[in-house]
Amino acid sequence: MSSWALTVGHWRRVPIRLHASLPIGLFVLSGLRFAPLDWLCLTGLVLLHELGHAVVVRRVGARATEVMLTGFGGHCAWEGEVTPLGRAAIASGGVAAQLVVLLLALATWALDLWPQGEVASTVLSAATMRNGYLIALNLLPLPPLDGAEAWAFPYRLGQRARVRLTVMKNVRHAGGDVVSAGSGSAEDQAKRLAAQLLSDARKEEQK
Amino acid sequence: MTTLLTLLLVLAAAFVVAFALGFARRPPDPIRQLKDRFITLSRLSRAQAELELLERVESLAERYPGKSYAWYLEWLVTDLERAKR
Repeated sequence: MSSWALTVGHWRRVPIRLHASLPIGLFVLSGLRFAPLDWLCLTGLVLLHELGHAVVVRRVGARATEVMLTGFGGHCAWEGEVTPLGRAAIASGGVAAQLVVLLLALATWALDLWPQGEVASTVLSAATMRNGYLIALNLLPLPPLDGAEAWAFPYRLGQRARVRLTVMKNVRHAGGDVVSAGSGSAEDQAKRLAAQLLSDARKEEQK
Repeated sequence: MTTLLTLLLVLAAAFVVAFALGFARRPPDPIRQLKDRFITLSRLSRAQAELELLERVESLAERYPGKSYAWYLEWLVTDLERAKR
């Protein structure tokens, strides 16, 4: 844990910390001008991104330990053992959260529900254009950007879908009588199916 | 806004392509992987290791009936790994 950071709050017991380099990064990103609203919007976007990671970390059964916002972006530290799909999901969680905000902002704007005024216009610009650029940047497949791992998410999702489909087909094929008969609990059916698979495997071994 | 819509379309297309690639590629066979791991750990010839594996799976199946073939393999591999440590 960096001593150059200040804890400003918690999200589900995960400390949210601002690193000393954050103001410098915001100043540079806003074109070296004094623009507190821009800084606030950027900080909000980065925070949203990191919280997106933290939410997925929880969903896949790991534990987020820290959310840090720095001058170079931010990072969500976590611990625990996750599957490769879970790891890829964590990497894409940040961008997913940004996409949700982008789509909501676009929908609100398109439906003419977005409020008028200078502040509202700056926030809209941050939630759409700036958010879009950050998403595009983050998804470049280069470490340490999220894109280096995030693109594995749809790929692994596809793999999982195929495996599930294959298993479902095999269950219907191999244990058709067991499943369709609907006799016994799901656990019994699974056990019978496992026994059948074992006997098939033994036969295969003996060949 | 056209830029944003283009970005969203590109992202959606890339997502679909990556998903389709994952779906199209044959997934690794976990049973084959476990068997290979067992053979490596047993330090026997392939034929000997496969025979040994068959015997061990059968004996395990008697001790723990009703489990999947992968379960027995995983048990044996974990046991061997523990023994190697």
